[in-house]
This record gives sequence, structure tokens and C-alpha cells, in this order.
Amino acid sequence: MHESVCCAEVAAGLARHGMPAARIERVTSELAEHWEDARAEGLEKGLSAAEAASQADKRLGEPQEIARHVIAGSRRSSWLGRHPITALCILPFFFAPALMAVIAFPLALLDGWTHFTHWGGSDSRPNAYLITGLAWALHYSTTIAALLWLCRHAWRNGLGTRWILALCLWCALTALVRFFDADPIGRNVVFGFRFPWRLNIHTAIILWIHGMAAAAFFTAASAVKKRSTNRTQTTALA
Amino acid sequence: MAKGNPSFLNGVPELVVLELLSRGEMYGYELVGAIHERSKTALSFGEGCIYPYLHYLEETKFIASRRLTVDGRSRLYYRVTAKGEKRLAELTKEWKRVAEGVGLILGGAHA
Repeated sequence: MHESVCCAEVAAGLARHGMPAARIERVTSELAEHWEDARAEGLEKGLSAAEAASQADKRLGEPQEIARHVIAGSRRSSWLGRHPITALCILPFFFAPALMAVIAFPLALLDGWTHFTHWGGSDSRPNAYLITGLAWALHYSTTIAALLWLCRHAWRNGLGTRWILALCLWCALTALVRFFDADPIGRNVVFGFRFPWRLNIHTAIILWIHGMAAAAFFTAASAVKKRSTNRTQTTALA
Repeated sequence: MAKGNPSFLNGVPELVVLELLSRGEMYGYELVGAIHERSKTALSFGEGCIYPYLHYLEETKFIASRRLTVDGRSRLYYRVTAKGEKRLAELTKEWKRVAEGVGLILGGAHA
């Protein structure tokens, strides 16, 4: 049974760039159909099975070039893809606060509702610590989510590891410039921008979060690369 | 197709694909065959590179696809949309303008 080496290499190349599995599947299934047609044509011309398979692979072209075209096509089809550097410079300022606002709004409604129903306590402000705790958790989790999303976006658009490291650093700096405070006594949650930043425990937490998220991202990315390389080698051997 | 092509050549694959698909619904392999046949093999390229272009054109709604089973083989057929027809008209006009300009230059050089 012959299989297309080219298809496997294209799939591996796309996986290394973090392309979604559905897109890889779409590209490779069409390439495989094309390869099968080209192989059948070779067999009809009287080539041996191995020669027909090899010729079909040659006709498909260089796998790296196909993968490059797929990545370029994916990049051209969105604004973020067409302007990755601009997007990645601006988005870190607004992405996390916007994400937080979307999540925090229903939470604020819940706060109002629980305040009037005296949920979980007897005094007039029973759940203030719970709400502020949730607000802080939201603050940090949206920061992590925004960083990981931007790293993934940069990776999918073919920006290299140096760019992604620079992005992590940039995200950390913008996170420090963003001001956030949740006060359980005053029942206030405030967020905005402040410069210069103050060095305190939250600054240390923000830097630690960005360092850990960057490490987690690079670990995941290298695992994907390793897996896709192994898959290509297995197909080539088969 | 390659990186660094002059901007006036950037729309050529798009023009060729849209023009051929405007004449009838085709699947990838058939389309590549049509490009080779109609251009008398003047346009040669890695055949797999056609799919990223088709997917890009589909994402930008210039073409649409549907899976059909013909003679027991299931294949993805592409056709031009109304938006694609407009794009084709624009690209054809642009290509004729560029070709005319190049023709004038070459004509001048040989005069």
C-alpha cells in the first residue's frame, strides 16, 4: 500500500505552525485525492506502483512550498493575519480588559442580585470578599487567556519563536501598565491604565504569570513539533 | 506565486482559476489539467499549490464548493460565485491593461 509522503509532510508542516486540525484535514484530504488521481494516471501509462506513487508525489510539488501557501492564504484571509505586527502591538493593551469586561458584566449583575438577597450572610454586604476574589481571579485568568491567544495567533501566522518571546515581554509590559483594583469594603472594581507602574505583589504575580504562560506555550509548541516530525518519519518509512 | 513577485503578477493565479471555473464547475485535479491544457503547459507549478489558492478564494467568497460523487468517486467541486464574477471582471480588465503596457514596451524595444 503506497501513501503520499508529500501529504504527510504538508500535514506535519502545518501542524508545526499551529494550523487547526480541521484545516489540515481539509488540505491533506484534497491533496490525497489529487495524489490518488495522479497515481492512477501513472498506472494507466504503464508505470509500476512505486514509480506511479513517486511521480504523483513529484507532481504535487514541494511540501514546504504547499504548506507556505496554505499559511499565506490563511494569513491573507483575516485582518489580524494581514497586519500581524500592528495587531500584536495594539491588542495586548485592550484584549484582556475587553475580555474581562465581557465576563465581569454578568458577574456585576449577580453581585447586585446577591447584595439585595443577602445571600450567604446576615450583614448588608455578605459576599463582598467572594466577589472581589472572583474579580481578582478574573483579572489574572483573562491576562493568561489573552497572552495565550495572542501567542497562538502569532504562531499560526508564521511568526517565529523570537517574535513570540518579544510578544510575551510586550504583553507583560502592557499588563503592568493596566491598572486593576478590587476593593471588598468599598465594593469597587476599577480597571484602566496607569504609568509608571508600582512595584508590588501584583506586579510580581503578573511577571510570574507571563513567564509561566510563555514557558507553557513553548513546551506545548515543541511537543506539537516533535509529534508532527515523528508522524512524518513514520509515513516516510512506511 | 512566489514571495517577492511584482504586485502586477500577484493576481495571475486568481485570474486563471476564476476564469476556468467561470466556464464550469471543476475539482482540483481537473482544474490543474485544464490549466496545463489551455496554457499548453506554459503555466507549470507544483500541483498541490492549487489547493491553498482554492481555499483562499473560497474564504473570500469568490468561489464556492460542494462535494459530489461522480462515477463512485467523491470529490470537492468548485464554482465561481457572483462576487467571484465581479472579481474576475476586475482582474481581466487589470490584466489587459498590464499586458497592453508590456506589449507597448516590448513593441518599442523591437522597433
